[in-house]
Amino acid sequence: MSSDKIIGDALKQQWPDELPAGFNSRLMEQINKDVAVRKRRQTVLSYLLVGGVSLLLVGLAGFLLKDGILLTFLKSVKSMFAVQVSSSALGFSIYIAVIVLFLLFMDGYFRSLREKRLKQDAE
Amino acid sequence: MYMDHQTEINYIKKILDGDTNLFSYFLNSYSHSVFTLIVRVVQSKEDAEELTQDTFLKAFRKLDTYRGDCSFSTWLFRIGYNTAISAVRKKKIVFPAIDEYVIDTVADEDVDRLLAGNDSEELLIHMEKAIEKLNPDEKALITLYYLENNPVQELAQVFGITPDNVKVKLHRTRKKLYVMIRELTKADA
Repeated sequence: MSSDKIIGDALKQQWPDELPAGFNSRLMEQINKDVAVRKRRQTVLSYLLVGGVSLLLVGLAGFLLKDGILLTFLKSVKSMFAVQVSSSALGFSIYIAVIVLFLLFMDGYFRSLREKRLKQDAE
Repeated sequence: MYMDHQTEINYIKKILDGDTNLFSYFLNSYSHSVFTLIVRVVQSKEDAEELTQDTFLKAFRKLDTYRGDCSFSTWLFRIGYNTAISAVRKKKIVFPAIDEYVIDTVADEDVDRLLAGNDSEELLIHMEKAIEKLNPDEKALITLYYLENNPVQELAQVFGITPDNVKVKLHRTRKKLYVMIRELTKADA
């Protein structure tokens, strides 16, 4: 079957096998552009994620302050420790601490994701 | 010419780690073969160029899904074949069908005699016309087998069928070509 030379000859004659000059380099350029777009998209997505979470936290803080929930909480904390601390300063500190903890958690999460991916690639 | 399988896998790992420019090795090695396959399936040089480009872009984007269980060229041919077949299906071209009974009644010796011994210009022209009338699957199959000299085992992986099925399909395609050439010769007479 593989000695059917006439089929191979006819296939050869049917179409030119030559790609236009510079085809490979143009395609390589496009692939590099594709990589750049993907990287940019990832960066934008991570900024959007961080921005969205920050807005969510600000909104949550606003909601808690508006309904006095945070103030009640702060008062109870104050009474627990019986220390005279300005409620606004304490609230601000707790707020910052929550954000820092959240960002540390997110950082750890993304780092572990990246490590997993690198391990998979290495295997 | 081509690197061995392990070296290609190492290249792929490096590309996935960010050394994108190494992909040019795969482009330089296989773009010609992929184009050869696609142009014969879609029967248009312009479409084939575009589809070859699509094939390599898809391959690059899905490079992390290549598991190394077959050669890279087989994996690439599978993407190229699927891309070309999808494009042909979108065009809804109807290919002439030949009665299965007619194909079954053709003797293998007649086909062998025609294809092995004769290399006249007339037969070559008839063969070209007959190949044009084959359906895209059959065109892809004979291109990879007769032109790219791929073994049956690799063709089975490209088309997602068993090696025995590949042999059966090749056998029937030869017979189909014989029937079409016989008709063309009759029409000329």
